[in-house]
Amino acid sequence: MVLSAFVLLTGLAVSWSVHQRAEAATLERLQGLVYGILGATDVTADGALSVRRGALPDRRLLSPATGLYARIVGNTRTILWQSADGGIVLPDTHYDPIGEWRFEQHVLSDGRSARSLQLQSVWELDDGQELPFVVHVVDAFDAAEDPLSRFDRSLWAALSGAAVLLLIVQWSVLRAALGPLRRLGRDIDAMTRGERDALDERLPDELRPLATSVNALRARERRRHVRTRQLLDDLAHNLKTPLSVLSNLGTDTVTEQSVRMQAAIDRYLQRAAAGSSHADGPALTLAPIVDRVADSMRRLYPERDVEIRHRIPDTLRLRAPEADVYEVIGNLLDNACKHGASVIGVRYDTVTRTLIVEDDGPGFGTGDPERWLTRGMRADRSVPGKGLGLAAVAELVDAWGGAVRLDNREPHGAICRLTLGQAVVEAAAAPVRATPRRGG
Amino acid sequence: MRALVVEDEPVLRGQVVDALREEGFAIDQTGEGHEGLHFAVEMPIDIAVIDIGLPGLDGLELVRRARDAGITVPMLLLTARDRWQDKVEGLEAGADDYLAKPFHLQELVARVRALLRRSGGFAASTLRFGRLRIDTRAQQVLLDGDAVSLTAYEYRVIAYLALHAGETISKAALLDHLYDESELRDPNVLEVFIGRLRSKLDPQRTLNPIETLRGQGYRLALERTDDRPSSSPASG
Repeated sequence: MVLSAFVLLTGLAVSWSVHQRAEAATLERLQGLVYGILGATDVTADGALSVRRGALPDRRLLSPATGLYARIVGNTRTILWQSADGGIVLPDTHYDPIGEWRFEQHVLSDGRSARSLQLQSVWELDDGQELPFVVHVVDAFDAAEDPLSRFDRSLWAALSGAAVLLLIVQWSVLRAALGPLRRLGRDIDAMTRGERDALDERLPDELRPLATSVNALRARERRRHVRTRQLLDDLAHNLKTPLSVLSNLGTDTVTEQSVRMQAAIDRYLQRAAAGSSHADGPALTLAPIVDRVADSMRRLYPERDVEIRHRIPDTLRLRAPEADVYEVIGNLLDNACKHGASVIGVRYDTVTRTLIVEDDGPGFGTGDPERWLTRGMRADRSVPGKGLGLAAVAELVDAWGGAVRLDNREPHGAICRLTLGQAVVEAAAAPVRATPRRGG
Repeated sequence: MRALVVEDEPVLRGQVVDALREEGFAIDQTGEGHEGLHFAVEMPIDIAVIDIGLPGLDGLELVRRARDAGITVPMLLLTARDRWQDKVEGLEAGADDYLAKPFHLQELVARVRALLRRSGGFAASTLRFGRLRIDTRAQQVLLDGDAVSLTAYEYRVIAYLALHAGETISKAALLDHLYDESELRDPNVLEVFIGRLRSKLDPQRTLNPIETLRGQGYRLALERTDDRPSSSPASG
């Protein structure tokens, strides 16, 4: 648009400038003609005016239909002298103050355009009388043949052509110049989806500092996040060992207070972990995590001979902190193993984006199963554990933007449905994989 | 039974050691990772209780190296980092169980007993050999349902032989598994224990619970009569 405006304004300016100069040149030329006619004019002592044909400044005045006409008009519109006009009706002559020029443009009776110049003058006779008269020159031209019109046409044609060429060049340059920006935008999207760790810094000099700064900022944030979690872990570690000592000292009060401190540490550590539950690295593939946790269940419960089957697509990836994903899967499978399941199934519903963990254990009993998502509740209090498992799962999944639903399974068993929400990156169908039973 | 305790916090280590000693364990203990690995590899331990956060060599690496060295005894990890990712890493390193801090000593003892039973192929806490039953939880031996009065060391001997039923245990190995390094070991005392056990467990001399293999050692000669864990191939 700017280019179009520039071309238009340039064209207008050049055209106007050329027209102005042409007009000035025409005026000067017509003035020369007027002076030349005046020079060829004689006035007798009694006021009779005559023009010497041989002294006229332009021989076209001698022939009709040449396009150049002149006349001398007296003060009562008496034509004192006229060149050959070929029957053309010339524009009216006007009376102006002495010495004043009038330069006008007209359309003649034959349709041609014309420029006319007239000069109001006076001839002083010998006896002191004055003979006022107007010298009027008309220069006709064919608008289509007019050099100015031809110039304008050429000018606009050339400018238009140049504009189109410039637009093409500009588009090509912009496309090439914006290519790196588009690539940068795609990389940023990929980072947001967890598919990239850092921006590609192979960019033009103008953009490289931006990518470098973004990568440095991201790395700094990641280090800070890792450091914070490490500090939290270290804090927990350094508190839990003394708490172990205190809780075993044998006095009820100390033991009770140690248990409270322990519960507070676990609660706030869990909340801190859930509060920072945004992925700061590549998306995680879930299937290997389920495999590892299932193997761990086999080690922890060898006498139980639990079979854990999962149908998790290899393409199912989650944008969530790795430790939190382990926490969710670990708590769910451990819960199922502890409560007497012999077969545990883990599958993913691609339509509802829901991870489903179900078992053939005793289920959640009567009443609303959702109450087991309340912190501190444990479905089977005879089984050792902290009682935080399902509540922790619910908090973490909630931090991912998802939700947990618990149901009893018919004829017996439990179903945990985890709607994973925005944490899911992509998924497709996958075959069943089973963790073999012990001894297999 | 002989237990290795590797825990760098001395008070906690002392509590764990005391609790296990009360259960009849002979103890090797240290607060440093490299020394813990040395004990695990060189000493005749039956079980190891290992803290993850150790100076020198951390607990996970200790477990890995002990497994690489061919040590197959059960190992229980103590950890303040009780997130599942850490537990999975610990179990993959070769540990058999984990216990998160803070913990009750009773729970630790129960886990240790359970691991020892599992390693001996026992699922339940009571080991059954026909008329003879050994309740590892109560540390009690019953013959035809009646409790047999045993001293602590006598119980240790019969419990060790029961957990390794069918295996011939040399005198030296039995002494290693029953006594701390610091304790005086006298093979003659062991013979006295064996003799007294035979009298108490088999007063009518009809059971013959303990067999002496001259030049080799002792073996529990009774057949197991409890349900063993399934060892059949996995279905599916």
